[in-house]
Amino acid sequence: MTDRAGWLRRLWSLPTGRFGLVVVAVIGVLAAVSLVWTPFDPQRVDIPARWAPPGWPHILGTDASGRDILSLLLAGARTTVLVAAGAGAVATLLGLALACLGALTGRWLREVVAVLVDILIAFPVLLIAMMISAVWGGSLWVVVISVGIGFGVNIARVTRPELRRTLHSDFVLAARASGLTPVQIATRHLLPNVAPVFIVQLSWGMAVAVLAEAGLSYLGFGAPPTQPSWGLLLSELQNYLTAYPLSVVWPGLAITITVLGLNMLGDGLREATDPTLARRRSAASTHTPAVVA
Amino acid sequence: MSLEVTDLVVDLDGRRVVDGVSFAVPDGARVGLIGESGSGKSVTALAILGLLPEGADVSGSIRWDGVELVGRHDRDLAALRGEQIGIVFQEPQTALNPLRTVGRQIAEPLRIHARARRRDALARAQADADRVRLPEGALRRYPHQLSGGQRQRVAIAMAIAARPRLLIADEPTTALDVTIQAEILALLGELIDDDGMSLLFITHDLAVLSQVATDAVVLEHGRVVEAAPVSILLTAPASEVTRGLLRDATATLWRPEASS
Amino acid sequence: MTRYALTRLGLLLLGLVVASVLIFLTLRVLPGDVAQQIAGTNSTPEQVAAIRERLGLNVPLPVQYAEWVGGLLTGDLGASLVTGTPVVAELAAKAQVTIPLGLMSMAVALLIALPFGILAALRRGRADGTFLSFGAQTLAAVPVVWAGMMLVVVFAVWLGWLPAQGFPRDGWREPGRAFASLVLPAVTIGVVEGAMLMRFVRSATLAAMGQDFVRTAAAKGLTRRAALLRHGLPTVGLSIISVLGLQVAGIVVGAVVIEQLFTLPGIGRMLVADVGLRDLPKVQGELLALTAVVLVVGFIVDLVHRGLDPRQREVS
Repeated sequence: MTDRAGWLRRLWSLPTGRFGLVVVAVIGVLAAVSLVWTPFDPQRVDIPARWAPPGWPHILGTDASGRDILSLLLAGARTTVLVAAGAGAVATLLGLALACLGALTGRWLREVVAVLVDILIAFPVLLIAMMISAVWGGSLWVVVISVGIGFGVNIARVTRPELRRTLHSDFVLAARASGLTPVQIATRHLLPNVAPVFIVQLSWGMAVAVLAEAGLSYLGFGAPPTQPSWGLLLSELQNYLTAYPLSVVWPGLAITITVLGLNMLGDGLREATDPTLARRRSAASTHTPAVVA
Repeated sequence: MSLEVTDLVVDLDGRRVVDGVSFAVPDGARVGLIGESGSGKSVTALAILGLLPEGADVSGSIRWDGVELVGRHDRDLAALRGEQIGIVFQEPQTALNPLRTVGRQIAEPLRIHARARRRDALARAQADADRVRLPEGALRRYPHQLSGGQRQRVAIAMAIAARPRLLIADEPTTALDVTIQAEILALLGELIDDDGMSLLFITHDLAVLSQVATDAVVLEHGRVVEAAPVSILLTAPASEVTRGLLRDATATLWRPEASS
Repeated sequence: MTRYALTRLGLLLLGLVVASVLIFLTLRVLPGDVAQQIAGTNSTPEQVAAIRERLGLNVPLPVQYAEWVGGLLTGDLGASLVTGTPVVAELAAKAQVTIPLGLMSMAVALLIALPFGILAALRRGRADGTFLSFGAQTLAAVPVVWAGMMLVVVFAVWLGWLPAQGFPRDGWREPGRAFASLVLPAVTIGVVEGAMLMRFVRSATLAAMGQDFVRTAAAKGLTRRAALLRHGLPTVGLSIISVLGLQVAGIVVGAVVIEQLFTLPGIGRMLVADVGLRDLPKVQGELLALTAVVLVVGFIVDLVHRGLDPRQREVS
């Protein structure tokens, strides 16, 4: 079994892992910092200062209402982190629940769950979100839940075979024979074997969550106007695209870098936790990240 | 038409796998390359044909008919492959293209080298298939529909389709059932005789080697530790490595009669 | 093969049924009181009741579902709550924008993914290969909306070569203008999807390069490059087909957002508007149509994949 403390070090040694960790850490820190301080109040309207070019005091300039773009970005990071974490949590619960259902129950139920999961996979996240928005109105909860469902199903599909394989492995059979409780078996054997596949999917899934939030907020089904969001900012700045084309660069870059960081983190985690891949860099295994909004 | 390898050195990903190997396969000879796994025998064969993976570093000399092969462009080596030097690999399971019929694959060397038309090439392929004793209708099948032994026959047919002068056989029977091994070895011997080819036979099994080769080169860790006629290796092995191989040899050991 | 086809068909139908049930339940059950929401806070109970009647909410749920499905089988997807026009008619009208958009996007994606993916695999470890690979990863991380905006800025605002928005009122009767309106949208979606697909092509090509039978082909007299192209690529093509289904889903999703950005009168934009208007019968029909497209394409792709791979065809 892979040396547990070692994987973090290995992750750091990979360019992908390092980039991913740095990006995620920076975004997390920025989001946290924005809770207590931003250069300006993101909602502060200052008409005389509208459309200021990047400089001082507005480092990235201002928008149509004179709001400071840098502050909007920092506050938006908060939303991004919340959505990613929230969707991650929902996906984890749903995914593990479905995976366990699929792996632990009898033949018939297992087949049904497998078919159900395969069908749900085809349901694009965005469509789920719009469906929910149609009834409950758009909100960040809609984003969190629909993305959570979307990639929770993906997690289930990927972790179920791992779970089954481990359950039927010699380790576990021996453990059960020697009288360990289910909880002990779960923590000592199942978790470590399923965890690597799981956190890789989680990283990629959170990347999808960020893109989904951007897309849905842009469409108006995500963050409400009072909540700073990168996607919402894109939609607001779009109206002035012809006059101030470069203003959209900032939120777009923010989203791209975050998603890139999360994707790379996933790639790095996969390499760091899979002993066979560690030998050959950029190995020829297929990586199909979940569908993106 | 002879092969001369002199001081061949091969580095794979920085690791020295072949460390100064020299031997020759004169015209019409049957030479064996024997050693444990990891001794560098397969790598030597791949180096001769320029089929090493990316990141391989080759130095030294490999001469075919007096012409230097090391450092040659892949285009020139490709002209040699199949037409002058053929090779049969170890794994019949993965050596064949799963998406093409057997017939097309056997016909391919002729289409490449003789620019034969499809129909002519397929007709010749049928003749080759008969020579290697493939069952009726095999040409129309796909590899996954054949057994391991049959797939290896296909591989042999492909290797000799363009009538090369030298056949390299890299552990051709290792992945096969013991019962099939003898058949394939006999087939190889027959084909070599009929076509007057030279043979470079690579294996780790001295018993198998004794059935096909007259002379052998023993490798260990990428170096030649002994080179002698097979009869000597069997009766009076000079190196520890050879003695070890002798001990490991399976099944019927073909001991030459007392008369030399 | 036929047995497999029938099984997959069964699964497809099952998928459609499940999707229809899910859509139906979500839109009929979750709301609480949709009629109240549509009527608004200042409405009278009579107005709400009238809306309930119009929505057919006073009938038991299974009956509502049966009515809807019954309608589906006769080609009736319901009618708009707002305008009363049949959903099918609206879908047909908007499809003239969305379907070409989808096809063009797919073409762009393949045109980018195939050559660059193979190139990236061939040049692995070298500077240009790494650059390509990293470039693809970055592009795949770009939100489709933003990519569209940047392309608009360059090609419509700065260069003025292509329209920034809209679709000619006469539609395809002005083929030149119609096509021009779809170029930037299709390229946007195609580039982002293509970047994702390119990473897959690269992996598949790397896998093909390591295959023994590619080496065998070279041993027969092909140059190593020719061996890879002639023997390895077909396997790459085969594995691409298996992910085309995912790509289509991505394109459908991209279209929804891009039609909004470029104000194209397509199905995606209509869906967004209807969701905003809470025009539930329409949303129901549109969602089912889109889901059906994704599922059906997945079904076709699956069968094609099996048909092309001799290992999976039943031996005759």
